[in-house]
Amino acid sequence: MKKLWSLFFICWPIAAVVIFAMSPSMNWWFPGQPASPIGERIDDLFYLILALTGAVFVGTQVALGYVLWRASCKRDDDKATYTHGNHKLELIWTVIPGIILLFIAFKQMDVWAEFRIVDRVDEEILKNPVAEVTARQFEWRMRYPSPDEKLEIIPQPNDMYQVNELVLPAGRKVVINLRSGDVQHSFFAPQLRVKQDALPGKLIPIWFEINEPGEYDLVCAELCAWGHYKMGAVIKALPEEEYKAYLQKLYEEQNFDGFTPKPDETDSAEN
Amino acid sequence: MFEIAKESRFGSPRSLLLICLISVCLVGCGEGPEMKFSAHPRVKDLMPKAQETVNSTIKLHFGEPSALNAWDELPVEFGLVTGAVTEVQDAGKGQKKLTVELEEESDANLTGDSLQFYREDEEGEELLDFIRVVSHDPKNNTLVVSGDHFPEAEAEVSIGGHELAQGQKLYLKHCLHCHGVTGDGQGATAKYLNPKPRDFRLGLFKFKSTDYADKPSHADLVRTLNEGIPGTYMPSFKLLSDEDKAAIVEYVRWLAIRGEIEKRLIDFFEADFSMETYTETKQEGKEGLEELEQDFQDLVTDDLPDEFESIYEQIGRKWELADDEKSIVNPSEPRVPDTPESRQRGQEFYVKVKCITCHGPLGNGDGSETETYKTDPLTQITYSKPGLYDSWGELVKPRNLRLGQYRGGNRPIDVFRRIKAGIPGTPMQAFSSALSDKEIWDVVNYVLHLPHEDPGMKHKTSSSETAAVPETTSGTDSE
Ligand code: HEC
Ligand code: HEC
Ligand SMILES: [Cu+2]
Repeated sequence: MKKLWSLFFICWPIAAVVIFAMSPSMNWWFPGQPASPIGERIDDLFYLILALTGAVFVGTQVALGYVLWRASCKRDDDKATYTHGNHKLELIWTVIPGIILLFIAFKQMDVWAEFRIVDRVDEEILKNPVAEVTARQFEWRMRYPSPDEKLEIIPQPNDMYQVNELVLPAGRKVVINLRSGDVQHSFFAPQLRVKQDALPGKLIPIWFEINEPGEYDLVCAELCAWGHYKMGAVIKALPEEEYKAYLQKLYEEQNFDGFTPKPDETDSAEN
Repeated sequence: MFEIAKESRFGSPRSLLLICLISVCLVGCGEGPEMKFSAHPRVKDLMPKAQETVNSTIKLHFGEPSALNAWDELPVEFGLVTGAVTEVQDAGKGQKKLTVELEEESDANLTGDSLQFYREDEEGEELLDFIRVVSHDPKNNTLVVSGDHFPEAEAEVSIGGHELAQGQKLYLKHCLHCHGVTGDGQGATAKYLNPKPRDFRLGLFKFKSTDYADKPSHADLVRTLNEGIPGTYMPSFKLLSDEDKAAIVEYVRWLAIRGEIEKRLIDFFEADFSMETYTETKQEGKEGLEELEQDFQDLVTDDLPDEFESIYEQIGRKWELADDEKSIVNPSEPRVPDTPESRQRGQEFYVKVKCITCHGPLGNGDGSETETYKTDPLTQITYSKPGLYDSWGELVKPRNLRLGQYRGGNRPIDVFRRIKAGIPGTPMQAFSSALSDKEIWDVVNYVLHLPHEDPGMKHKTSSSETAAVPETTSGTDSE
């Protein structure tokens, strides 16, 4: 019975390692490869921390199992030894985790800065957001500046609108202004590893680069009301040329006046 | 939530968790009561016999949510196949086995569909009837059907409904909780919303490319699904596949047709056979009551079939017409260049044709009409709150034109159509006779510029507008 307990505790690290090892092939892992440079760095951080905490978890569990196993081998009438404190041991198990934590804290700082500190973004890019994304119950509404114009905070006469479809250029860093039309939402692009809350009354710029053209999910990551799960949209990343062409096409669509000259009319106009 | 269960990999460690989850779901949701199409409240204003007639006529032609009837006279995609019965055999349990020769080969499975045929009633009158297909064997082209009456050999039949049922399935998943089972806009969430989800039963649609009195085209309804209705709770369903959207649109059209036919039937009986007449006659004595019921019976046998036919033909034709290219409201002139002069003219028309009475002198949606008391055109009762009311009896505010939010779309052509063809179901009528297309464009230019104009100042050009300096925040707001 005593041995069973030590085996029980030994099972956990083994189970953890096995489950983690099989996760990627079972599709229990990340939503695809990171599709943005910042996503790659976030994943690297994740793996680093996973390795560190994994090693500590396995180590402590193995040690626990070992101690239990050894104790279970002893005869019942053996007396327990009483100890009080061990300065050296305590120093070790305080200082080493301390160093590890400090290491993580410094290591992640740059990624965080890259992700959230405005100074890290080129002035030029920051001043030219490509779109304003407004989250509302339960959809995403986008506003783009018309081609060759800048996105202003206040809607402009030539602005272009889209719903549930965010079209962006691939291969360069872009800034998006995030807003909420009602309650708190969260802009979450899982493949890009980008997540930022949208707060009512606040304009929050976010930035990222999408490596490859393609379609990526955009979902809401804040339980905003009953229809929260419906807030799905698509991010379409296009090569620069196609992106320009898309904006031009959107511009023409948005200015469509429904007029098609009848063939006979144009004839008479020429006469 | 049941979809999770379908996708699960049984035998994996998660299966235990899933089984727990599924049992929670089963306990939590259960089967629920069977869904029913509810009768329009106005049916209750008819005398009992008339109520019965309206309800049974509607039920015969449209069925119930669990068993829709496909009816070849309606311009709706049911997935109908037609053919002739070659053999009728008894299949026991009140069912019959029909062998049908189809006009065209079809690999659709017709199980659950309805079979439509004509039979003769006791008096030898030809009568439309529907029965249900219990099972279908496509190899031998045999159908087991159940019902009260059956077609005879050589009868022409049309069978279908599976395509509509597909639309219904999607409708129940995506639209039910707002628009309701019957399309009456009384879904579970409806009471929390303003404006209310659309009650399709009046057959009125606000945002479309056709004229005031016309129905929306397929493309219009798909556009509504794609774009949603900004400023209301009607969300965008852009990410559904094109086939799914088409199927839902078909079902919405069917619900609207069903509701409108029901309404027209009520109108038909209301004048002479209302509940009011009934109770009055009843008080006067038995004789009068018998006479009234006899009159009603005569009307039902003599006039109802023809009347019903003309109702569904009219409504069907209207829906068909909406898809005709000629029905689209397009300007005869290109948009007038958006110059200060054009806007100035637009403003003058805005005052002249009385947009101002509803939308207010500054376009804030606070015109004098919002302060006058109106009466309900149906009951002649004055509403308790001042303001404008829509055809569904709800208070409706003229749009604040300074917000720059256009529910029907913000393209120039959208706003043009709103003005030229009006907004059906609301007090905003069509202005096609009051203004020429050129004049409407001036008004469009004026209206589209209102949100970008300082309300204190008159007519500035867009170039002189001052752009605000972006206020940026740094990353302290994340989770
Ligand atoms: C969250 C509630 C909600 C859901 C879900 C919803 N709608 Fe709506 N819908 C509305 C509201 C509210 C309106 C009325 C807007 C108005 O009057 O301006 C509306 C209006 C409409 C209209 C009328 C548009 C017009 O031109 O008048 C159609 C058609 C429609 N909805 C179809 C659908 C379909 C189909 C679905 C499901 C795929 C759906 N709706 C789901 C709330 C909803
Ligand atoms: C009898 C009152 C009335 C009059 C007159 C009227 N409107 Fe409206 N208008 C309304 C109402 C009510 C709505 C809101 C309809 C809705 O969405 O339910 C509306 C909506 C609108 C919209 C918004 C359309 C959209 O897509 O959201 C515009 C633009 C508009 N009106 C312009 C005009 C112009 C221009 C005129 C004059 C040519 C005019 N209206 C005359 C009552 C009126
Ligand atoms: Cu949300």
